Amino acid sequence: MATLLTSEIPIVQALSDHGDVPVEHTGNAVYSTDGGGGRWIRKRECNIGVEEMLAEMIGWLIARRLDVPVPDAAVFLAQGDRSWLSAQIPNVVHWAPSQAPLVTNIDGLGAMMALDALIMNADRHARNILIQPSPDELHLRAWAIDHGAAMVGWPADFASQRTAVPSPRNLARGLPMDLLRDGAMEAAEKATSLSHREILPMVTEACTIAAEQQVQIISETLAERCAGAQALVEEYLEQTRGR
Amino acid sequence: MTAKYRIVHFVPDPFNGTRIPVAAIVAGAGGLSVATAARLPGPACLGQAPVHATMQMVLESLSSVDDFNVLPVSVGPQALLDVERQIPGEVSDPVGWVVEHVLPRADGPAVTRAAKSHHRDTQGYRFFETCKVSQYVHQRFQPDQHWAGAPVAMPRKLGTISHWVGAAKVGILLMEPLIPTRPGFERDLVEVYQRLASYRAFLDRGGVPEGAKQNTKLRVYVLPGGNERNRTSALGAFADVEALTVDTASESARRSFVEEIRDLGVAATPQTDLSGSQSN
Repeated sequence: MATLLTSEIPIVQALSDHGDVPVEHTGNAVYSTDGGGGRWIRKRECNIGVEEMLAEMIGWLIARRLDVPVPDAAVFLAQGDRSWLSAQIPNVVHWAPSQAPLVTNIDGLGAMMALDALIMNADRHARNILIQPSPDELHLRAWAIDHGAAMVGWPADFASQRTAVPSPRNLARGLPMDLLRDGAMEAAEKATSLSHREILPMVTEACTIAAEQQVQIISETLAERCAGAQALVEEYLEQTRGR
Repeated sequence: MTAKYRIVHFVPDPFNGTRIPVAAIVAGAGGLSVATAARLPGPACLGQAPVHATMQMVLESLSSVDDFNVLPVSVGPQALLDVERQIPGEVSDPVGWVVEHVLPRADGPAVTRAAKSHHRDTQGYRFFETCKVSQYVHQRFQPDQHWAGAPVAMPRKLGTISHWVGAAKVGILLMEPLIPTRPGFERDLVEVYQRLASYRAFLDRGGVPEGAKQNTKLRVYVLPGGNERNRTSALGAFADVEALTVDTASESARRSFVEEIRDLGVAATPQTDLSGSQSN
């Protein structure tokens, strides 16, 4: 893969597009390959907006800290044509309730719930959970994708919601919340240990790429939410029960 | 009404664009149906087992089709719906016509003709693994081994039960899974009913001592998914054989079932004390 590592988010140098991803609500995503043959799902900033780019980047960086199963990611930074790239996961379907007993990384799905609570992502519908048979239909690996709608990409709104949790209205049906709880609380514990000092460089990197000025507001709000992660995640899980 | 159809293509690799027609949504006088190709590519043809597994999952997802123009969300990004086409007016069996004249036909011995399905008990056991209680759950309860020396003759038809947990002195839970999404669900339902009915009759006839009878409980656990008709059939079928049906799609039912398994499993597991010796 032709990448140049700056800090955490790899930068891809050249892309070649291969057609649309045939899924609704994907922000005009296209299949794309880089010079090294790396396969990506590409979302152009001109289609999704800089806020979604920012939300994707911060969401991905935090996800990795919490062991949320997210695809590899990168950015393409050509002048006037910036894109967010999410590694294409081969052989996937979308979430369905019948798959719940077959998911092998159920704690990863729990961690996904914690991530959503922290970055205020209310967009975890069935299309944003990929299910990959690994190696067969009885053993399914879940992947959390698309954090572009998370409020963390809208700094002023995010800062005004310091103790709020996302609405579970769009949450995928049939997620086994009782089975996700352990993973969610484990991820919350990891979030609690993330200090502002650790969060600031992540937010700075994402904001630099997105040319967003409000680094301090985002990092402080995120740090505050991480410090209170146990309560936030508890609250979010509780709200999902009442759906 | 003129019947019509739209082909569903499976896309093994979105980067090369190859499409394989695997099914069709058919709209006729009887409503919507899904026609599945009689010839589907096998794992060797698709190159990798996970690709084949994905195709099977796409086909399974089509069972929830409720709109001629929209694929179910769960089919994911590797399925495409082709354009609408008409079926000749004189055709009396639109689904059969699409299978015969539109989709790939089974005309050779070296093809996969039907969707492969895993064993019901193998699928069911995954539930225990995901719920983290599989360490307590045993596979294949064999009555002639566990109830050797039963006071009454054990009928031959008392087959094995898929899963069980516990021990004679703390109680035994005999468990059978039902998977509403499985091809042949109706056959599974009848088979499980007959098996549990024979166990109930054996227990009621005094096949095991009274204490053991009281301690032996029958459970049918119904995995999530499938159509409403199948789920309702499964959930309502076992009252007369005194087998409790657990709807694992319900969080409260799932939780209490898992707790029941864990409690019995712990009670039946020999405990190791700090000196390293075992007690029970």
